[in-house]
Amino acid sequence: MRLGRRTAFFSGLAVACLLLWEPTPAEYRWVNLFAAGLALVWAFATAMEDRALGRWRPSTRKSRRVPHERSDDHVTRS
Amino acid sequence: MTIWVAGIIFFALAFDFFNGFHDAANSIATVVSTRVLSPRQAVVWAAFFNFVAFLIFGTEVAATIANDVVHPSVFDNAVIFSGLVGAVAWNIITWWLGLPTSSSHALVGAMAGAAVAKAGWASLIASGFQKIAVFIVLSPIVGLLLGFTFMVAIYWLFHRSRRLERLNRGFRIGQLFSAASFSLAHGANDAQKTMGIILALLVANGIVPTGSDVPLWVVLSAHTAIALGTLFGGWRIVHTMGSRITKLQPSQGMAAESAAAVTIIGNTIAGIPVSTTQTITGAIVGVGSTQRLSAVRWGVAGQVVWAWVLTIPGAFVISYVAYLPFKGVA
Repeated sequence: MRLGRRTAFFSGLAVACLLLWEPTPAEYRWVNLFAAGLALVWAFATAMEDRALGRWRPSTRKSRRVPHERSDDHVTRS
Repeated sequence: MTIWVAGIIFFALAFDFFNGFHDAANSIATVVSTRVLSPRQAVVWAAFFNFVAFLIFGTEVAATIANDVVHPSVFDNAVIFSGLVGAVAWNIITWWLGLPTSSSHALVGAMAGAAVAKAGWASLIASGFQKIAVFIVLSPIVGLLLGFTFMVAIYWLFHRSRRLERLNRGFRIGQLFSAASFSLAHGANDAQKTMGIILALLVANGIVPTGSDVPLWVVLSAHTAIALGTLFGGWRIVHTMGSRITKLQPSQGMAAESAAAVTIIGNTIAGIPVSTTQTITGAIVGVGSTQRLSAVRWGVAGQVVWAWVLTIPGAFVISYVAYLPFKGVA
């Protein structure tokens, strides 16, 4: 399983918000929680979207490759 | 009030004017590109909401600038003048280099530099600095997440709509409100930084007592300066902004402006000075991310990160150096 780019991006944002927890003054820490929560929601949603669209199975790409057209595909039909 | 004090107030208002001048594009770009308003109407619209922001928001950001960054006892005319020199010089240098830095962060860094040059590191208030530094990073992130959320919400709400003409008209009207709310937020947060500087100057000269509110004439003059800056800056950018913004649709512009406005207004109510430019940049990145990440100009986003790293130290050094001649005189 590989993380999609948007999933990784939103997960990274969530981590950044949580890393800022310590230096954030106590009365504003709800902002970190809110932003990290929202980022995780979108990370989860984009992961589900990738899964639904089959984007997180990179190993299957080979099998889905469109074969080269053969020259006899272009035979004019009479 | 001496001529020296009046001159510094004028200098602070000029800083405010150029703040509006530079940031006018953020407020009016989308409404002009989507032809919701003509350039003339858009400029007047943004300037009006820049000005009336004082009727809605308090002066918490001004109080933070005046009291929570540098110990108020350290402020004197030379420190404030050197701080303004540092902020203005940093803005000019970064404008020349094309870096999207924040004049707000430059102002904070520059005031700190001048104060340290006068009275050492002990003149800084760590907690105030910490609050501002954290929200330099958090505000664009929150803007980004809200921009993404608003855009997805718009998709969810309207994806079944078949009346595209009517829908588009709705978004165009929505843009009027989102541009107005962004201009309100911009006027409220940015004008208050100048108010904070002028308040510190007035307290340092004994013109108003310590701990007093921002005088009404300071509030009005700061909002007038930023509104005039928007008025003139808007005219200047009308010819060049088309290429920068054509990729935003009305619904995207509305989502980005609304997300940035909500973020900045939240910060303003909490008394936190933030960069309006970087917040709207974050919101636009968030809106762009709903398409695909490669739709975002990551080079611009990278420049914002560089701006975070460089602005406060850069302005700090310039104002530190600018204060040294005064120290020699003293």
